[in-house]
Amino acid sequence: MKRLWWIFFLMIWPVLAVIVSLLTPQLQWGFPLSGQSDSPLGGEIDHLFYLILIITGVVFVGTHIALGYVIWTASNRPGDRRAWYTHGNHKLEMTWTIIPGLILLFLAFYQMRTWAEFRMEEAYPEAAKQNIVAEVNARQFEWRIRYPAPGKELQRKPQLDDMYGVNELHVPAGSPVTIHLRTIDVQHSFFLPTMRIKQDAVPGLVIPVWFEASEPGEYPLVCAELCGWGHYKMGAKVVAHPPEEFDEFMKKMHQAQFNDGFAAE
Amino acid sequence: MPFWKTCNFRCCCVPLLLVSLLAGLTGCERVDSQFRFSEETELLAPQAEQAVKQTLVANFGSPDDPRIPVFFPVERGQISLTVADFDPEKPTELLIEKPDGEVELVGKRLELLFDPEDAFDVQMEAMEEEQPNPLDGLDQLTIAGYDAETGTITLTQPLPDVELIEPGLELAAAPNSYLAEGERLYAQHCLHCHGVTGDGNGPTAQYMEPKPRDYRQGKFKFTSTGPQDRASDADLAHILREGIPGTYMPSFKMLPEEQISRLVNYVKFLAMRGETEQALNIEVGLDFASKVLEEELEDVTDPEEIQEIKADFNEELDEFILEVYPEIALFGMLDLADAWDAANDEDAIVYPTTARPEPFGPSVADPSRTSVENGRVLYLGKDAQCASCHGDAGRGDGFQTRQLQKRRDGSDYDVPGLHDDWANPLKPRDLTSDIYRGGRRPIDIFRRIHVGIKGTPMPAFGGKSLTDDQIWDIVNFVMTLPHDKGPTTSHPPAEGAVGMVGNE
Repeated sequence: MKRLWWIFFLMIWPVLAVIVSLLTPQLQWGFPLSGQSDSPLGGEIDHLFYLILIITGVVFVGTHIALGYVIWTASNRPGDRRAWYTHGNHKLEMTWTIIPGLILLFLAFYQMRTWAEFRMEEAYPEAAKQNIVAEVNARQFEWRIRYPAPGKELQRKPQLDDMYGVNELHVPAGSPVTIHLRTIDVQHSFFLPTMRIKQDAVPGLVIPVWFEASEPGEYPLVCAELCGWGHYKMGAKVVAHPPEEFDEFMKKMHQAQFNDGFAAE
Repeated sequence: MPFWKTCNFRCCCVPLLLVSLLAGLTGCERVDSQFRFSEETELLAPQAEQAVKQTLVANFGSPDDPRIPVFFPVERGQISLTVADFDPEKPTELLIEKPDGEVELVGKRLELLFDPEDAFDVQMEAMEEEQPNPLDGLDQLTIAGYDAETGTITLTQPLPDVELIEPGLELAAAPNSYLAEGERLYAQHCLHCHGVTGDGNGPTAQYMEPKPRDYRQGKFKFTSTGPQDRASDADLAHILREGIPGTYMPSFKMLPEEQISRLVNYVKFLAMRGETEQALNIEVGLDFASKVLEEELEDVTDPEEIQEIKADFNEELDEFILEVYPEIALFGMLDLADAWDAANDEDAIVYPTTARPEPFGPSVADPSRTSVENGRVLYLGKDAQCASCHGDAGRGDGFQTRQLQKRRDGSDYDVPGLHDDWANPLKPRDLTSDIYRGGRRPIDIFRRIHVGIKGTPMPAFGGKSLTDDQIWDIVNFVMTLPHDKGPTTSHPPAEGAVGMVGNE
């Protein structure tokens, strides 16, 4: 019986945790299959994620080895005295406070550049600041998107020649783009899981969000803030076009937006 | 003792685990749902009510087994077969023309697709000769076996010896499979607002303003078809994909094409079922609603006389149901099918006959003004009277929104303002809000004015009070209203304008 807990803490629990975290990428439980995201910034975020996972993983396994050792030696001790009172060990306390403190400090500095690039407007890449493609309006329960007319800049107020879409955000691939995120009702969250982008949409605010799709293709866009009974309906997609085809596509969209049906005769 | 055998663990964790498992299981169970009959049906005299309900169940089934007569223009899904030969000596065997490719037929339901009018004549003939209906029970036909070599279908029950079963007769195996798929998708995406019956009264409908569409009148607001036409498949699919901004109807753009088409079909199916019910209620309810009898009995006190009137009423009703009703039901449905069919006709779609002029370029209808200016003059003018509902400044606050309006039966509504055909209060669109429910392309707004918005007081102006060039000017004016550039007060009121201009 005494050994049972030793087996549990040293063998079952940490071994299970390591096995599961190794298997997870293959099972697609929210891990990227290849460890690669669909955007350059996402790669940095993945790197941070795995770094923290490895640090905490080593600490987790180490603590369990220590715990197992304590249980093992205690269960071998003769006599029926089970525990004794101790005031603690000052050196030990200092060690296990300072080391994690240093690790946290390291992480805090290490992630600063990535975080700033993602969230601080002044650290955005220059190209992202130049290339504001659309205004994304979240609402219960869809994404309404407003684009400026080809060759024009996005204005805060809707313009006569703006173009509109729903649940499909069209962007050029291979360069950073910015969207202006708004909500017309409650709080939503603009989530591009494969690009590691997540930003809440807050009533009354216009929040610039930049991202870059590495390759042309379709990427999921979902709402990551429980916004009401239809939250699950807010599935949409980002369509990244080859850069050389993007302008042509926007021109076609403009024609479709201002279709007067006459040519259809 | 190992920890999983301790009392603590057993007493607390095991029941908890079981309870959560059970809760998970019951949560996924399918709720048994049925189509609801309309209030008018419930108010018919009992025998009439029975007849109408039977017609609906026989022709449209239930949510678990949705079905629709083949003459309705709905893609209901089926394996199409053709009779090659039928020998009345062997009534359980049917020779078919071999279908292309392999088909799984055994165990499937089989429908004989008679011409509905011919089948009707055969049944009526049998009734007049007081013979049993030869086509009775044919909706229960099931394929027991199929010999692919010879193309022989064996049936679970014998076929009647009628001339209708002849070479060339079309058959449908496994009918209504698309409808069943549509029902599943509808239950998943639409039912919680639009309701099982499509009456716009699902569980979440109570939280909504405006109310979810009630399909049962067959009226869909935003169509590309003429003012009297039903909605085309493309119209319904367009609304599913784009959603309706300004309402709770979201976009279902992420659904694959095939699922959108199943949903469109199922919505049409619900509309047709509802319209059939409504049409029958009008036909039957005129003479045989419960209140007709009540009115007849109102001033009668003599019990014998009451009995007599009741007997007369019932006798008349029985005769009606036996002799007149089947015809009304069948031809009512055939008319309805034609109407829906016409909506998918290329000719039904409204296109402008002229191109849209530049908003700030000269108007075609009145070259002395720019298009937007002329649009404003028309907007305020007598012919279109847009301002009477939408307001002088387009804010949806015209004087009609403060007037008491009349119901279809001539009585006043309880609250002032406009109402739709479902008697819900309705606000005219605030044209400065930059929200266009039926779509914001120029062609969308053109059609809103040309064919109107069905089921609402927004009339169709096309071809009657306005020319296409004039409509384009109004479209241009309306499109500039939400923007700063739009002209508001810099021009004097137009000649013959209704109301004041620029009272903002």
